[in-house]
Amino acid sequence: MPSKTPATKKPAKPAKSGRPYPYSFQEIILVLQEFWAKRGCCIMQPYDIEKGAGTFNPNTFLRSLGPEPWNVGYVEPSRRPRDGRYGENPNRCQMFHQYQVILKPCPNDIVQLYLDSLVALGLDPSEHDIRFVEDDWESPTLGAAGLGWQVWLDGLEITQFTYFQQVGGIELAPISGEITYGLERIAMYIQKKESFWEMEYGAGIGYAEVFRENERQFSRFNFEEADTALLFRDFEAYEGEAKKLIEKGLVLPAYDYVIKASHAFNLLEARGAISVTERTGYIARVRGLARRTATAYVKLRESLGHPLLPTP
Amino acid sequence: MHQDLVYEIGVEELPASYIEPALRQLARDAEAFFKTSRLAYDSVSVAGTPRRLVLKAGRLQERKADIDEEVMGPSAKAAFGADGKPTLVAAGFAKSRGVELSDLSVKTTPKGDYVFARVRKPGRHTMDLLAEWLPQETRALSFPKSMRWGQGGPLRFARPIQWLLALYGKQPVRFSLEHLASAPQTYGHRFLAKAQPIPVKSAADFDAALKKGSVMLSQVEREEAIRQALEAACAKAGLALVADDELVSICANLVEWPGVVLGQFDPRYLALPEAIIITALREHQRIFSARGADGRLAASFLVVTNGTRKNLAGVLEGNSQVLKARLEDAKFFVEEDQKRPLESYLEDLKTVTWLEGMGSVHDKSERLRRLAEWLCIHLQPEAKADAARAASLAKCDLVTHVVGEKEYTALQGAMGSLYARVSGEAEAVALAIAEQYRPSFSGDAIPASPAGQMVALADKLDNLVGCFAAGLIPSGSQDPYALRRQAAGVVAILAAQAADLSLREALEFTLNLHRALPRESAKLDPAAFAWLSDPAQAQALLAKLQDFLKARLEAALVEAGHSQDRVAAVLSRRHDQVREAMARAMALDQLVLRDDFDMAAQAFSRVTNILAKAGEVVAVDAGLLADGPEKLLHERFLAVRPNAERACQQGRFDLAFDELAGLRSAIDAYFAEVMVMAEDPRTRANRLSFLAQVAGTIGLIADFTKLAKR
Repeated sequence: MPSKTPATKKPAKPAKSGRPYPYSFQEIILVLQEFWAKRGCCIMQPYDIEKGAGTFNPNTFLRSLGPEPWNVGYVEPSRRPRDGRYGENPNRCQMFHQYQVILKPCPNDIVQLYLDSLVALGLDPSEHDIRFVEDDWESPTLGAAGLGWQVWLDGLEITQFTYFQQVGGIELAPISGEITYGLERIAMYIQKKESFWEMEYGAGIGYAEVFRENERQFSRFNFEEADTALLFRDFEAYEGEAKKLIEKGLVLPAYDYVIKASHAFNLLEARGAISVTERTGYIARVRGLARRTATAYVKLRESLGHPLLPTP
Repeated sequence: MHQDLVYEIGVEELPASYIEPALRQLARDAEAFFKTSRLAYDSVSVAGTPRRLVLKAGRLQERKADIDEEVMGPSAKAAFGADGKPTLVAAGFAKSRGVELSDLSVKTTPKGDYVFARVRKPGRHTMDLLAEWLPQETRALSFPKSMRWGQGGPLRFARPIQWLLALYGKQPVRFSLEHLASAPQTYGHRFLAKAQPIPVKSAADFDAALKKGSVMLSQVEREEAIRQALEAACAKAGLALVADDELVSICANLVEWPGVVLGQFDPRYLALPEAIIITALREHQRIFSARGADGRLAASFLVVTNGTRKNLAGVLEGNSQVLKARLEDAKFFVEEDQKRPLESYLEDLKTVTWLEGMGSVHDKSERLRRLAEWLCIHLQPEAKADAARAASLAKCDLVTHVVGEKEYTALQGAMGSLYARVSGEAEAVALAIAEQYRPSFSGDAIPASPAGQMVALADKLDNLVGCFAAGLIPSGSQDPYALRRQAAGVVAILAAQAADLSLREALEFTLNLHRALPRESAKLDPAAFAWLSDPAQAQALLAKLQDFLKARLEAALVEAGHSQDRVAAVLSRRHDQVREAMARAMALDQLVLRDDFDMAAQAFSRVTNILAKAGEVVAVDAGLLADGPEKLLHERFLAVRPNAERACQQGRFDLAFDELAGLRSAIDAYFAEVMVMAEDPRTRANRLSFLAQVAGTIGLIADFTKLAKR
């Protein structure tokens, strides 16, 4: 059995709100930030480009490559245009929030650490039915794949837990453990609400007040109004820009354009502008960019002498 | 001396479907290892949960038996002088092997005469063997998908290994596997037991340690516990469980200590089709459904938990909330889908590729319509209109939200059927759409309705021909498109028809439909698609398909209880019509009971066997026949032939056999006196050609040379 890091023995017990455990959406985020900060993670901010998941954030996609250790936690607003339901579905949205943790290399007690974080959220595993349900995660656009689980809390999928095996087509060593909390789902559960729209965001403001109109407007935009001709042009332009920048050795800006191309594709798909046959081709194009970026990033870190590797 | 062995690989939660195959491999490898190591044992058993794979060996021999080995030494010439006395070379060899000079012997080998020493090798201790084999076996266990973790070293496993316990009797077997070291301790249930390790003193104490740790190690025991708990919960609530053995087995491999709780979902979702509700519960949440006293689905659900004892109300609340979201989503999909008539989805199928180089699903729908019509003309004329309509709409549901969003792929067919009804299609059409994938697993029933049978048959034939034509031919265990199952479906459906169908004609008709598809030939792999332009390649493709179907027909006949050799006799020469082949197999089973069967069969076999030497068959010239037995057999054959062939056509193989059995003495006389392989080539060809005619008629019943000697 793995040795336990000393920090895991006492789960954090926040009591800032006067309640023993977090309740509002923002308190949940604060607890996770504090929990992972105490366990040696850098707490980062969301990356400022639209993306489908926290995995696209360079703090995951790029940093999981190569030999250097990396431990981070951050919130990521994630956009999935096709999942829009005009704010009518109780728990499906085209924009939601993930809390993303990367532990590289994944420690032997990563599962226990994760369970401790649930305790910090007031979700004691002995009082719930917690299940690790197999999930072979794959991102065809990122050329990334991993094995792990969906974690179910009383039947509700609250976390995606993945041991990355490959990113940008590159086999990884060391292996990163990725923990992706579905923040809305966890909040809904903790607040015992049947819908996102009944949840409290924080400071007395409802989640619906913050995001429901956003859902209505963006669902219309994603499904009905987004200009497909413009998006097709964007996709081509972003792809071209990414390629050009990779050639010039500007890996980080190049990666921005990979993310942009991917989001343009997601919008086109939501608009029904890409047929099932064409879909594979577009995904392959984004994956091609992701692979080239990943390869270039690995070289970049090499040329910098892997500054995060412990000096021997 | 003997000791029990227990080996436990502790892991993070394994995929449910990985557990049993891994255990089987572990048991198989252990037995093979004990055998090759010549370690006697009483029993090998395996058991597992999502968090552990366990191997046990009962009374495993403590030390490997000593063995005597012959070790080759120097050549006899070098070891013994001319006087026959051992030289220094011999002495040196004996010393190096620790034996006396008198223990040496000379043996002849292919390289000449050499000196051998008989050496006793002491067996190694079982503990040492295990310390080597257990880590090696752990590395060798294979899974459908395996992973690396931590530093990403070479060790791969289905999920990260957390601990290794190995006890031989009371002795811990010590070894390491990368960063892991074996230790005589296990861990209990992740949540019901304390996180601390549980020490295990001996192999005999292992089961008790796990019970203490709230782990039910046996899969069978967990399944039984789930079944009983489900039944008890249903009985208490006056419900009848929607039984699902596969789901029981999946759930048993998701938990270490099963429990069951029963909850309710909002009854307004009962307005959804039952199939959607059951699938939503089953596929997404691994939850069981139940029916009320009236037989209709109840708004109840049953969750198999991992033994949680506290806060069951909370567990149920969470689950019912999830179901609500799932069912709400399903409702949204169903409502969206029903905004358009089913037929309108045909257009959308144009954008869905069926198989690379084989057109779209829209093309397939068009083929299915024509093929179903053609099949109806031969088999079910009354069903033609309904089958054609159902065939053209059959694939529409693939692009609806419910099926197309990948959430409910298991409902393909069922959703199309439902939408067909809503769109005002005839009931027979809706039913045929629902039944198109049947039989969808081994032992599944064929479609009940005539139109359903024809659509299902068309779909399967089209898949078979299309995949073969695209070069996707199953080999070994590789059959990703389940073509074997579909071929078995073709056989099963044809067996149930009132009329027979020529498989060859059906395959050819289907291939022609595929050929008519407009293609950009530049994009195609020329080797795989040679059948498009080369008639000989097309014939070869059809022959492959016929053989493929023949193999399924063979399996069906064997499964129906016909012996392997009789099935071979029945299909050897004729396997184009399923019902006809089945009738002959039944007839042959009766024929073999006759007293005159063996003698006649022997005579028939002689005729057939000699044809192996036959060249080109020519028209028989009666003028070339010799007086005596040859002319006699010719006359007798011409006399019985029409009767025999007519009897075969009528399915009266017993009568045909009667007629042909009458030729027996004439055949025997023929072979006794006529030299078939005559010197004169014309006579020889004439004789062989005549016998080919006789064999042809006999072959209408069976190829008697394939029968096993009795």
